[in-house]
Amino acid sequence: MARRMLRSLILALGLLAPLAADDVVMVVANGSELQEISAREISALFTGMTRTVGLRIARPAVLRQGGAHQSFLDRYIGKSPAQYYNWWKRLVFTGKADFPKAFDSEEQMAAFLAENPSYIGYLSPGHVTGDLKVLTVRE
Amino acid sequence: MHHQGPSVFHPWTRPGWKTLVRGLLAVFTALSAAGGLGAVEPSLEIHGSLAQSYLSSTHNDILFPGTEHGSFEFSEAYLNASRSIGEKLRVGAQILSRDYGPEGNHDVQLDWGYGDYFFNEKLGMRVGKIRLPLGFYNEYRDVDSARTELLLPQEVYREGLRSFILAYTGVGIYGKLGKGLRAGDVDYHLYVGTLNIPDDVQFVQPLRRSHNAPAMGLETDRVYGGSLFWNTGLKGLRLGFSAARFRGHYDIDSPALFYSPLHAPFLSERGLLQEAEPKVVGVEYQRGRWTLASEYQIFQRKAEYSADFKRAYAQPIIAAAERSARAGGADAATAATAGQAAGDKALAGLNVGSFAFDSQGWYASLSCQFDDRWSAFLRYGEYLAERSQRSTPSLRRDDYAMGLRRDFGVHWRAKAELHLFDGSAGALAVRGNPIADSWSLLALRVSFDF
Repeated sequence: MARRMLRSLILALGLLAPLAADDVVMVVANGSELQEISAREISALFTGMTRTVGLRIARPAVLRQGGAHQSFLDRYIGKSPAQYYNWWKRLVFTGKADFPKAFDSEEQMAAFLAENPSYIGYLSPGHVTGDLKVLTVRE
Repeated sequence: MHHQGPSVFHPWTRPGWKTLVRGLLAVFTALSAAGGLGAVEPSLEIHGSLAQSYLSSTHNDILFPGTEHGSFEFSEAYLNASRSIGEKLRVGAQILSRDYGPEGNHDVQLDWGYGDYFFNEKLGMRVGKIRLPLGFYNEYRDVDSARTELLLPQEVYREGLRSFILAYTGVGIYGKLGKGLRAGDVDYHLYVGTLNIPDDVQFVQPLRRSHNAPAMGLETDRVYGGSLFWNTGLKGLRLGFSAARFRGHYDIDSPALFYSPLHAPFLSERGLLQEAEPKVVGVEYQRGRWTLASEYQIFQRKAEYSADFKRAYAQPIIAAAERSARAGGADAATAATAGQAAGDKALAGLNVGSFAFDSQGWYASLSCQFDDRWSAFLRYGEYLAERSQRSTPSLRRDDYAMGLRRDFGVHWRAKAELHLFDGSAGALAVRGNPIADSWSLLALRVSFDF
């Protein structure tokens, strides 16, 4: 009985604890006027709940998989990759939005962002190239 | 801990899917090119889904006739295409083929289709056929991948009313207010238009039966309403309020009606009017893998004869009574009184045929996504077909529901859920059997989307 209660307690604490997240940075092209973004704006933009950051129209770019993608979802979205995909389906299947631009690798994402200043993406710090700048994230 | 998640986001763009949708893509690309609007980023999105369900109930039928013996007559297929034209304009449409008991029978129809212009964060406009925002989930009630449950809570999202409240055809404005405030922001959506109600919608069936009018359809005069969803400052918590007001009239087109004095006047325009006014308030809290949701709905419906019809119906009865009184020697005033009394009596009898429902329902649900494959939910709901008669078993239903969902990759999923009911509001009698007050429903579904 005590063991079962302990197991339940550990499970409950595990659910409430902040999820572990590796480093991931928000990036845009050097040509973008954007310098900073809030965590709430990131969440809203990448879940299709807003189309602007500040007063500018912005578009999200996402990775399909990998550590940076998982860290990004853990830190800013609070959904698993499958939950995140299903979230977007509800927007797409009601005509409210298109799926975000998606990439298989961080290299592809970095190359795309460098040439498209209206997009915001995320990368692990090691993949930030000279064409990109890291946004300051306000919590 | 990291894991390599499944490859997600528009996998349809892979060669296999391109082959499948090549024809549609060519058509839409040609159309958009013809528009010459200079798309910033030409992109056509095409997606679709398929779902097949099986329902098996004990003692009573539920949702539609035949479920007590098990029924596969619950299937849906959707195909949609959308395209962004520039940064602010989007156009799209979805076609639907659906079978739901006696409704649908896989006729292909436009599910939604509209143009959406985004002025700024506070204001956007949509024109066309648009999903109606009622409660948190009505707009995407058919997106099977969006929820753990197979059936949405029938206390608020009754399948029998789906065709009635699914979408409006008209103009809507939407936007987000209060963006950046610590207290959160509010998404609003206001609209006015009409509803396209199929002739086979179950909503009309009781009136059809009571009036022996199989060809009776419901035409919309207008519908308007709106929704406010407050995304609070507490991450994952949102509150919602939505309401709609509908007014329409029944349209009867059947020569057989001439045989009945009661039914003949329906042939006059707008003889029988229908009003409906659903309102929903709700709260949803999503944290990590858990989602807690509760909504409450009041749905007032009233069908009544129009004043013009009442006058036309009573006039010959009043005249006959006056003639009879005069023939008996009554003076003009007495004859008029007798005529009015006869008219009132006739109209009182006629009003028996009017329908007024004031129903309410609420539910509370808890769902958990254990991992990317398994999720489950528990839910309790209470529905009162008539709010004032809480203790009448035939007008009340308690639904204890539980279910499991299993995903196979990101495109396929299977669901199974069990409902235990107390009370029989909304239940349908199985031929030859009385309606039972304690019964159950097993529902299974397999669905696919791309």
